[in-house]
Amino acid sequence: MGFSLTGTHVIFFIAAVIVAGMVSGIFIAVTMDITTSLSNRGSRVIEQLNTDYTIINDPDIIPMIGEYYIFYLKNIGGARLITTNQTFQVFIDGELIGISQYHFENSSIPVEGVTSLYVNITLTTGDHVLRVVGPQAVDKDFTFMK
Amino acid sequence: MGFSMIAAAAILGITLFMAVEIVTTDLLPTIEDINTSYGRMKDRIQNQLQTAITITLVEQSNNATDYAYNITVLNTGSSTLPTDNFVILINGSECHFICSNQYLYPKNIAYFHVVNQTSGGAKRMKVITNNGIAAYYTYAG
Repeated sequence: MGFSLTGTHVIFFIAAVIVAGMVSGIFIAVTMDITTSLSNRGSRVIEQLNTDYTIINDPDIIPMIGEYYIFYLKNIGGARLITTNQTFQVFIDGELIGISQYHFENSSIPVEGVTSLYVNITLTTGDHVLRVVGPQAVDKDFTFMK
Repeated sequence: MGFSMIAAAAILGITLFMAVEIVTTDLLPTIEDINTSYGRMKDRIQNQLQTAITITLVEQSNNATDYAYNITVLNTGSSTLPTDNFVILINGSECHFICSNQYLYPKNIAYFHVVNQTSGGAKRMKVITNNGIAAYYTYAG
């Protein structure tokens, strides 16, 4: 009977340690997942806070080279800006411009730097709205006339 | 039974301590970085609000082949502006220039010399500061 009681205690002890270990493992795994997700989200928020740019053209006169309109994009944010067809999408009057129809002069611009955005599109006379959507969906509108 | 409870509680306690350690080690630097970025963004916006310029005078000169413009810019804001990253547009196109000063201090003027313009006459000018604030001027010719 004495042996049985000890055996029962040992079984309870082992069971308690196993259950506590399982709970601990799950708790640590969930904590690490949440921490990683929050950290990634934090990195995106940091990128969003550091991203800012503006279109500095004279809205009255948009220069052209051949069939391309030239828009000047100035980095007024706090970090270098990657300017490619993948990081930027361009809309004119609400229409998404295909990536083959626009390109940037430089693949990246430093803080306070300027690059040219070349857009190949046919515009009618009158007012138009250029919308540029950059990294982390930071977007800018620019109204101009042709 | 009592000893089993103590062992389980100890394991769970250590786990809790480890979880707090993981959270503080991984998240605190990220929160600090967010705070730094937010502070810088706030500074940039404040700087933009304190920036203002006016084009006070434009003078044209020409030689046999091309035209040059002297653009006088007055800093009407309250922040000092580095002139390296200014942009000048004449009739919508970006122009290279030489500036008389490296910094444009509040209530001071700087002269921007634009050369190699192929045509004279009326021009529409836009000067953009390093942080994107702009001023317009129409030169009548």
